[in-house]
Amino acid sequence: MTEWFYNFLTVIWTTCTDVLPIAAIIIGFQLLVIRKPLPHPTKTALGFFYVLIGIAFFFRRVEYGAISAR
Amino acid sequence: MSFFKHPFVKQLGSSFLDLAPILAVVIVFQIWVIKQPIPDLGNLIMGTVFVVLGLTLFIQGLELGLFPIGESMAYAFAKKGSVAWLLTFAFCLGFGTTVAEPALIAVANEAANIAAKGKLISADLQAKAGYAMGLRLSVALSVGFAIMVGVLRIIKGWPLHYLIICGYAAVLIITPFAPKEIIGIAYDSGGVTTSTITVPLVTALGIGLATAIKGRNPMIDGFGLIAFASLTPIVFVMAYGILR
Repeated sequence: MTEWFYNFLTVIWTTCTDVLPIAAIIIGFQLLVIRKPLPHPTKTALGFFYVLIGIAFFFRRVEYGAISAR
Repeated sequence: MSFFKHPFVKQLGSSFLDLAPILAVVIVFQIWVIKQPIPDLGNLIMGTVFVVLGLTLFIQGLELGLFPIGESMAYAFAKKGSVAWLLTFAFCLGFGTTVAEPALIAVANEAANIAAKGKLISADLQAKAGYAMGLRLSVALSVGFAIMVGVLRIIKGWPLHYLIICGYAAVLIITPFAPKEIIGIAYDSGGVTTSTITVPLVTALGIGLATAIKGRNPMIDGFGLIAFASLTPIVFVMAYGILR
């Protein structure tokens, strides 16, 4: 169980590092260049969160499943 | 609202339908071709549940977060009227989404290993890391360049096929001069880069811009950024092979 949890955290962390540069660019340009608050901040944050969890579940599971199917 | 009409449940159902053909292929081959029971049925079922859930969340997240923000930023830039900032943003978006792309990192490391085995570079860790980083940077630069030129095309209203024809002409011209070992990697790198997050974000940017700028049609001018972004890496990676 602890091993499963550790693996899960690693997967979430790797996905975060994949998505982070893109989030940084979007937020940076929004704040420094456009200089207007986001139109729907909560909705957007929720969307990013869904994408993050979705990638973690979908792609990492696919890798795992494809390997075990071999 | 009944349970089955809830948008999330509907999306779950359609995600499952999207994945059903893949599942069917695996099961059919396992039973009729390999003729063995599925090794770990519990694992397969768990995996399928996670994949359906993941796909559902991903699509919901795109519709909730990435598509609206891509379009709203395109509107904001168009209203601001600063072409220079828009082009800078386009370049950063292309570069940033590509440089951290996991598939590209994996392919670049593999290419460095093969290059070391083929005595193209020395086999020490530093040389390999340098080679892999060089590949990643050339691809990221090329995607940044492609999104930038593609956005400029939307602003100016140039026809897409001129860009594509010029790009493939460049590929044809540069191929004979490139080292043989890099040609395959170069041609493949275009497909590796157009990733899960780049595609929806960049598409939203293009469509948002084409909608916001007067005289542009989103159907005609909004698409095509991805096509160009999967072409330029071929040229840039071969150039890296020549110049290195």
